[in-house]
This record gives sequence, structure tokens and C-alpha cells, in this order.
Amino acid sequence: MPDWKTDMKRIFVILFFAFFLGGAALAQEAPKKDAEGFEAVNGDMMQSGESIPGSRLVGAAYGFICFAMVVWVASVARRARRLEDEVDELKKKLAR
Amino acid sequence: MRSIYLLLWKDVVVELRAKELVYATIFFAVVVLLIFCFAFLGGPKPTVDVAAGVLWVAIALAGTVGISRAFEREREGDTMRALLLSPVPRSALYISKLVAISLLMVIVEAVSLLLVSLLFGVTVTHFGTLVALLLLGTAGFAAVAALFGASLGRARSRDVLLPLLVYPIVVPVLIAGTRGTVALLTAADPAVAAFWLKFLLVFDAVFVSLGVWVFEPLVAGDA
Amino acid sequence: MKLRPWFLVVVALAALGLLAAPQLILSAPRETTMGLVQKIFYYHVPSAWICFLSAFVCAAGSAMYLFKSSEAGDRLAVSAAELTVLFGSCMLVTGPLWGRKAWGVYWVWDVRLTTALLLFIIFIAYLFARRYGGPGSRKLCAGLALFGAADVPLIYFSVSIWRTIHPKTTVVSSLGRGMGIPFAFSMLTFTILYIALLEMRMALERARARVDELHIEAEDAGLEN
Repeated sequence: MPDWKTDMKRIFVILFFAFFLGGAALAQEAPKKDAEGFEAVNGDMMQSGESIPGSRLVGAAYGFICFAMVVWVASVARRARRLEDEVDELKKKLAR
Repeated sequence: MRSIYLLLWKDVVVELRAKELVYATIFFAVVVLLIFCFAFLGGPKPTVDVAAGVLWVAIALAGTVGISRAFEREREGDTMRALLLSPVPRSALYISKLVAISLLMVIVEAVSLLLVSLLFGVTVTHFGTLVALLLLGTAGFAAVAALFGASLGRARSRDVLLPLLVYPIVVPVLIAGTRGTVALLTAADPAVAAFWLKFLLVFDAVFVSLGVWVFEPLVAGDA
Repeated sequence: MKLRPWFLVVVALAALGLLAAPQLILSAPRETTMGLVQKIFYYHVPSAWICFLSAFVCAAGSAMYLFKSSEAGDRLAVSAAELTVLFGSCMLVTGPLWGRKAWGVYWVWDVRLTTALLLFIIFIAYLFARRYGGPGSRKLCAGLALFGAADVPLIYFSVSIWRTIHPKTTVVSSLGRGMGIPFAFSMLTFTILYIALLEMRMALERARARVDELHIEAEDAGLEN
């Protein structure tokens, strides 16, 4: 099983970049949208949400999803690596 | 049907001889109730909501203790294995366990209810509905607990596993039970209680049939 | 760890979707009352959808394992259970962030919220029991998954009488094209991502089964004791 490791790395990198490029796009556009929306909203929206700006909530939500996915993929990769080590050990024993 | 009855009778007789389970579980429930009393009484007068919650929590805790002890006893004598080897339908085995557990819990509930109404000064109206609520709640709880208790077999750390598996599943029973009880005790609103009663009925029907269905493959390997 | 040939295609699709989704979401018209926060909706709902889907996938796998003693079913179940917790946590984090703005509080004991939390807890229990249960825990967990999956629709449908402040599912059909298309796109992306992640997790489980077999073979050959 020589190829899965590179596969895993590739997947990891792809997902990582997808999330962070997406996140970056959001980060770039969020302030603009916020500024634009600030005029449109007329007071009554703030009654419940007082002080926390919407962009921060949206950012936090998106950030958490990215974070959770990346952590999980990393944990699968780590478990896969551990299995790989086990296989190596078995192979070594076989060679003896 | 006959085998269910026989199996049930066996459990009852064993318990009547030892009496260990009933006393231990009742005592446990009383202690739990007293701890709640120390926590809630003495300060400002607790609401009736608290009494309903306390009642159901005590029942759930005592139920788990009793059930894990009951199956521990089966395990010590290796009787579960004997039962599984005997030519009884598995579903009969499950149903008899379910009823046995329910019986034990009903006794505990009677004591707890009395104690709660005394200690929290609750006057019980709509007694019939309350009893129905308790009975259906117990059946739902027992349906899940009998299944997992029997199939825990020789799993490691089963004392921890039983509540871990049972509680999340029976949360709806506890919600329905407490909400229904609160409705009965505070507003004395039979309509709300009737809704929760129906909910429990559906829940019991689904879980008992699911239990009968899953019991066989679940215990198959442990014999 | 051998992945199925279609896996890379799915990953590529998911990656493309994830790249395009934020742009689409941002270009969607602003919802008038909620403003920017409404955009949480575009990934909160797909997370919830995947969380529930995954729970039922897990139950299906468990049923296959219990009744047909299918090892593949068990692998599917454990993979889906992990993903239920993963997407469930996404759902439970993004939801309150939206609720903070919409309701002014992070959490209310609403039916839907309670159901979602319950599902999440059941599957955390599943993972715990799997991890620490020792022998026999696989069957127990399969039972747990079945009961858990039965729990959810039960509460979900029966409590329609219970008043709910959570937006109803009919909101989706009232979106209109402006918001509907990004929403559908993000649902699709999440589903593809889910398939990719599920396959990845199952490949790990397959590899683990293979390694266990190798261990047994090695033992038989006298290499291990």
C-alpha cells in the first residue's frame, strides 16, 4: 500500500485550501457587505442582537466548520499513519 | 405466552427469596430523594416543577441501579446463558425481563411518589392519570434497559456502559414524564398530560417492538 | 489504505463546491430582517441535514451488521457515527451563533434544538461505547444507533403541538431563486463532501480490518505471540 499516504496528503491539502480560500473570500467580502447593509438596516434589527456584529458571528460559524473539518481529517490521517506503522512492523517481522 | 409467564414467575420468586434487589433499589431511591430535599428545601419554597423533576430523576437513577444489579445476579449464576440456551423464544425472554424490571420499578415508584408528595408538600390530583403516566414511562424505560442490560454480557466496564447507553435513549421518556407530571401537579391541566400520555404510548409501542426485534441478534453472540 | 477509484472525483467536486459556495452565498440577496447573519443559514441547514442523514446511514449500517452480520455494515456504521458527531457539532455551533442575533440568546429549549442535541449526545455515547466498551460493544452500539435513529423522528413529529420558534422547514421553499440557488448549491456541496469524508473514513476502517487479519495470519505463522 504505497500510494495511500500521498493520497491522504493530497486530499488533506485540497480540502485545506478549499476551506481557506473560501474563508478568505468570505473575509474579503464580509466587511464590504456589512458596510453596505448597514444603511439598509433600520434600527429594529439591533433590538435583540445588541452589540455583536453579524459579520463576526458569520465568520465564527464558518471558521468553526473549517476548523472542525480540518481537525477531523487530520485525525483520520493520524490514525491511518498509525496503521501504516503497524504494517511496517509486520513487514519487518516477515522479513526476518 | 406461557413461557413469558413462567420466566416472569422465576424472576419474581428469585427476588422474593432474596429481597435484596427491592430493598437496595428502594433505599437508593430514598437516598436520592433525600439528597434532593437537602438541596432544594430549607431555602425559599421550591416549585412543584422541581418535585416532578426530582421524582423522575430518582426513578431513572434507581432504575439503572436496580437493573444493573439484576443482570449482575444473572451473570453470577450464569443463568442468562442457561436461559439463552433453553428452547424459549427470545422475544418471550425479552418481554419477561421487561415486565420484571417494570414491576421492580413500580414498587420503587410507589415509595418515591409517596415520599415526594410528603416532602415537597404536593397534593396529588388526577391520581389515575399520574399513575398511567408513571406506568407508561416505566415501560418505556424498561424496554430500553432490559435490552441493553441483557446484552451487555461480558462487556468491559458495563456498570458505566449501561447508563451511558440507556439514558440518552430514554431522554424522551423523561421529558414526557416530567412535563406530564408538571402539567398534572401545577395547572392540573389534563389536556397537556393527555398529550404526553399519548406520546409515551407511541414511544412504548415503537421501543418495545424495536426491542423485540433487536434482542435476538444483540444477545446471540454472548451465550 | 485503498480508496475507491471514484473517491478523487468526489473530493475534487467537493473542493470545487467549497470554493464556489462562499462566493455564491455572498452574492445572494440579503435577507431583509436578519441581514448578514442570515448567511449562517447556508451552512447551518446543510450541516443539520448531513447530521441527520448520517445518523440514519449509521442506523442502516447497524441494521445490516445486526441482522446480516455484515462487517461492511459495521464499518459504514462507525464511519457514519463519527461524521454525525462532526456535522452535529457544526450544526450546534452555527445554530446558536445565528440564534444569538435572531433570538438574542444562544440557546432555547425548543423542540428542534432539543432533538438535535439529543441526537448529538446519542452518537457521542455511541463513540464512547465503541472506544471503551471492549468486546461485544460493536453489537451494543449497533443497538444504540437503531434506538437513537428511532428516537429522533419520534420526537420530531410528535411534538408539532409543542410550540416551536425555530424556523420551519417550509422556509426552504419560500426562498425564491436568489437565495434558493446558493442554498441548493450548498446543500449539494455538503452532501458531496459527506460522501467523500465517509469513503475516506471507511477506507481507514477497511485498512484496519485488513491489518487485523494480517496480525492473525502473522500469529498463525508464529511471528507474533
